[in-house]
Amino acid sequence: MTRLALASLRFRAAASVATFVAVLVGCALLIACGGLMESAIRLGAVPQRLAGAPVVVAGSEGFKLPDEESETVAYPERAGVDPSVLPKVAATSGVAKAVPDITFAATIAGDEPGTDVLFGHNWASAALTPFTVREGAEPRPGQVSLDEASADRRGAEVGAPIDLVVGGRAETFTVAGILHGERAIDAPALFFAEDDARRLSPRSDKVDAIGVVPADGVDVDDLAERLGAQLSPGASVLTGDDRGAAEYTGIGASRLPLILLAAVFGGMVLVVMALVVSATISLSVRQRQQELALLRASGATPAQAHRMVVAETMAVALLGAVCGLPAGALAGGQIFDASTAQGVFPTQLVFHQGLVPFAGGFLLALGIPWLTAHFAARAAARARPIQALSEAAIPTANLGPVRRTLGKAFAAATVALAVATMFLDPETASAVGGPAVLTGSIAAGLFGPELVHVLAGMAVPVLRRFSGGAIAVINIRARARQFAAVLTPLTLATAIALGNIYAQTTQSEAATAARADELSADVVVSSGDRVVSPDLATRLRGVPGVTAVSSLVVSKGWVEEPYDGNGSDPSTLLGVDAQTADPVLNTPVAEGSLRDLGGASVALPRSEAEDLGAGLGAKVTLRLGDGARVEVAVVALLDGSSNYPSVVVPAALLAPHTSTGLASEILVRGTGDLASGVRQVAGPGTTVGDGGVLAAEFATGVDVQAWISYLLAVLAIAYAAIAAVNTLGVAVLSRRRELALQRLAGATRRQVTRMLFVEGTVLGVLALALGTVISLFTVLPIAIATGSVLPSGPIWVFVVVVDAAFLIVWPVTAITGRLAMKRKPVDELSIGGGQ
Amino acid sequence: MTNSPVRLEAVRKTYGRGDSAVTALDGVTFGFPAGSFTAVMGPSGSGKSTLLHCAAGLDQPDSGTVTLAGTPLTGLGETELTVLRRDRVAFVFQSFNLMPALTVWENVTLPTILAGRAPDDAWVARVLDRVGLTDRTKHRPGELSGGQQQRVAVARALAVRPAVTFADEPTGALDTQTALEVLALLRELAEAGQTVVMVTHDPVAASHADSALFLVDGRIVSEVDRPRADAVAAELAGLTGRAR
Repeated sequence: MTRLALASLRFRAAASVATFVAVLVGCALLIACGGLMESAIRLGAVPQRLAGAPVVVAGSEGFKLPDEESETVAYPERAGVDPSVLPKVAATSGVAKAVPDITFAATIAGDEPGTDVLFGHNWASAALTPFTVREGAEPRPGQVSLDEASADRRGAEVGAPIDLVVGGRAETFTVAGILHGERAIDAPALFFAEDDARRLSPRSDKVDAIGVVPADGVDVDDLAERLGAQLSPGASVLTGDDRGAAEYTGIGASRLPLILLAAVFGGMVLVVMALVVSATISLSVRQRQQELALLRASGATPAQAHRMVVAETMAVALLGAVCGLPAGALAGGQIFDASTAQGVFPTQLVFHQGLVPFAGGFLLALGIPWLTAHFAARAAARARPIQALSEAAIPTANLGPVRRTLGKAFAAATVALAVATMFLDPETASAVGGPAVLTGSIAAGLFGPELVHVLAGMAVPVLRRFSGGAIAVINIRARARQFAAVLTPLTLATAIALGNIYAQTTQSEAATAARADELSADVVVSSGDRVVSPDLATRLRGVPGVTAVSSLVVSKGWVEEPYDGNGSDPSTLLGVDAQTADPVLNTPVAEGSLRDLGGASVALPRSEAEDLGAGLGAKVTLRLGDGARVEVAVVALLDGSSNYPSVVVPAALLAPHTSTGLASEILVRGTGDLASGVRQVAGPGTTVGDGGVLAAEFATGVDVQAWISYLLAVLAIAYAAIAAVNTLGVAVLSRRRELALQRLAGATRRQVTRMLFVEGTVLGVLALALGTVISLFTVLPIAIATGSVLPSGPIWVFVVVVDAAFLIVWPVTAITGRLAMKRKPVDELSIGGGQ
Repeated sequence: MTNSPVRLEAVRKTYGRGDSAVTALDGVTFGFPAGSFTAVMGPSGSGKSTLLHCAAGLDQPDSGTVTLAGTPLTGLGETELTVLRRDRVAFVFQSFNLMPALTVWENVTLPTILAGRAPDDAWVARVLDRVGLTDRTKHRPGELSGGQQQRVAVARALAVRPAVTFADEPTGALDTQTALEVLALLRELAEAGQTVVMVTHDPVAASHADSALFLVDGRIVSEVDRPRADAVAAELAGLTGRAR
């Protein structure tokens, strides 16, 4: 059968192009997804500043979920190491040197806003790179040493004063030295005397990491293992590219979005590939009814005919998958680079694409066509030898029982996913609601022929008015199976595009609105590095017209006891000043009072408090963003209408447990022209804006997530579009004989072309309508889950999708129609029934 | 008649339902003698093609039994029918005879390969030589003339050495000279011991057969031994008048 299949393939290579392209692109994208997944699991980042320490001891790996066996979620904030660990590390056998590292953000006064944020460190940690003194000396108290690049850029000289802003406070230091680094470092570094560093760091009671240099002849891995056994679980021991997690922020937090990106996208690719391959097979089987019947008449059993079609598909798929391997190597890096360039992941994160992604992508790219071919080639087994003796009958739009059952199953799954999504948390809704687009498209693909038949019938009254319209509808209904094969990829592209993008915009807008509604401020003070001086709030109280001032700290965390079950999706923690919480917090208080929000206290959303069984006055334990546990008393229950409820705690409690250790904004309420007064007090380095600043800042964070959705949508649309072009082209070309007959019967070339255009337009409209309906199964439930009921998003996305559909349909119809009518009709017919 | 590789007994076949129902075979009983060359004739719609389809197991009769090479076809599944046909039956059709993707040699050996056996290369070469296509074995059907294509189909029937060869208008698309060559080849099949059943409307083609069977409205109305072209033509003209 394989030989026969190969011979048949050589003979009609054009018809297999769609499968080839689908598998090639699919294989490449699956390998790319595998690469993203592997990068997420490895989370490698090549250390720069800590490169001189073969072993690095850093804070705890993350929150070990109370209700899961082994799942650990990275802490959203930088978690330090307790200084008591340092002597333990130093005392471990095989350790030659253990050096504490302190890291904090700093800016040089006078730098343009938007200049790199510098990082300050303790002088001892300079040995971890290592940095050597090029000029001057090591820093003493009140002095600072700069790396060459930073010093040269600003023309800093040894002995000159330099104004630095750390933690929102300006301070003048003297340049003690200019340092030469052994290796290039992306983040500019400033080094301070030990006591200064400790004083300036927001985590004054902790060090950020401990760099370990093993004694001569000690194996790094052995040492790491010994240290790990001794320090676990309070601290993590890192070697190799894992050390990057201790040096850069956001490495650990990249894991979940990367895995989600890879999984969601991978699933989408699998579905597109399956639908395209099955559409191609059914087209090719349909086109070759006569030949298959002849094969059956020549003595091929139904099973042999089936095997031949499967073998043909697999030969093409194998070729496509092999070509997909190098393409996968390129695609993975491209997607990753584009994502890091957009700020989705830290730039230091290393993209890993080892053997496993390649093997996995390759096998999946063969496995899916194999499964699909088995299903789709059943039509080949049904070919009856008697058809070889007569003109091929056009198959009816009726579906077989297996196909019908599968179609119903996928339709039911779509409805089930949609219904389930409505009752979910808005933040998990998209993970469940997203796949509804895919199951819906599969169902539409399975019911395709019947849908085409029925829907085209509904279009008759409209199309009668156009010349060529009536015959186009007759053609479409009569050849429902063939047109369904073209309809499927177009529908899929529309559904994915609309479903993904509008689900994202709906969710983004709801989340942004919810956050903006939660707080109210007449004036907002913020700064470029997202920290404001701790004493600024007090100073602002004196500004005329000001009635209330509150710091704002935003972080994430869990209620650990009783456990809220939020797992990888921790709640938003809002920190506000106790005495002024009332004026800035919009959420109505159901019970208790925000005036009591001081010390170790919390205000919980009422629904969450009920779930936890924690009433007013109850004690709950919070796990804050840096891994710290604090026991707090419930002082108020909040009755927000928002579907994104925040847990509110005193800013003073929350701030020390964030990466910066400080509030990010100051919210001011009052009357009259506040802004100018506030600006005078706030001083340089700060930005003063109105309440819209809050929503804008939050929206930037949301946009980064949205970008992933757009990327996925664009790739999926491009993929489905390639498939649509192929199936459409093959479908038109396969009708050469029929078109020739029409021309012999008196139709002009122009009339035939017009008929093809009307057919294409009807298909385009059907695909858009079906795709829009399918996308609603994702978008509407997500809108309901976010509490906004109606989807929101820019209308231009829809317009672009509509344009794109016709930009695929019309040119392809024009080109292939021209090709199909290139020969004279008489010549076309004399070629015989083979094609 | 008992030693008959193709036997039909009270075979009925109706297409369609209700008012539009057409009875294609109306209780046909006939046995094709072993080693005979029989022409099945009749006006359009007389049921001659249906008779061939039912006899070859390509179509199932509504009632009655067909026995092919000693095996009753009633109740056989599609795969069993295929295996039986592959081993015992060959077809020569008017057109759409050959797999367009395969060469002449591959088309001739296809049934053997589908049966999972190795083709007898020496025999296939002899057969192709006999039909005069030795220098065309690597060509594809598209590169051959109609007559050459039909000779490939006959070569396939020769190569498999089946019990029965069914031919459906084998000369319908050929010019007179080529048609005569193909008929001579079919004649040779019968002389080699195969049973040949040929559906045709061409009296000249029928004159090459041992006997001609005439059908009208799904019934056998007459059988002529050693038919001559003019006699067949006269018979047909009479039948066409009687039909409907």
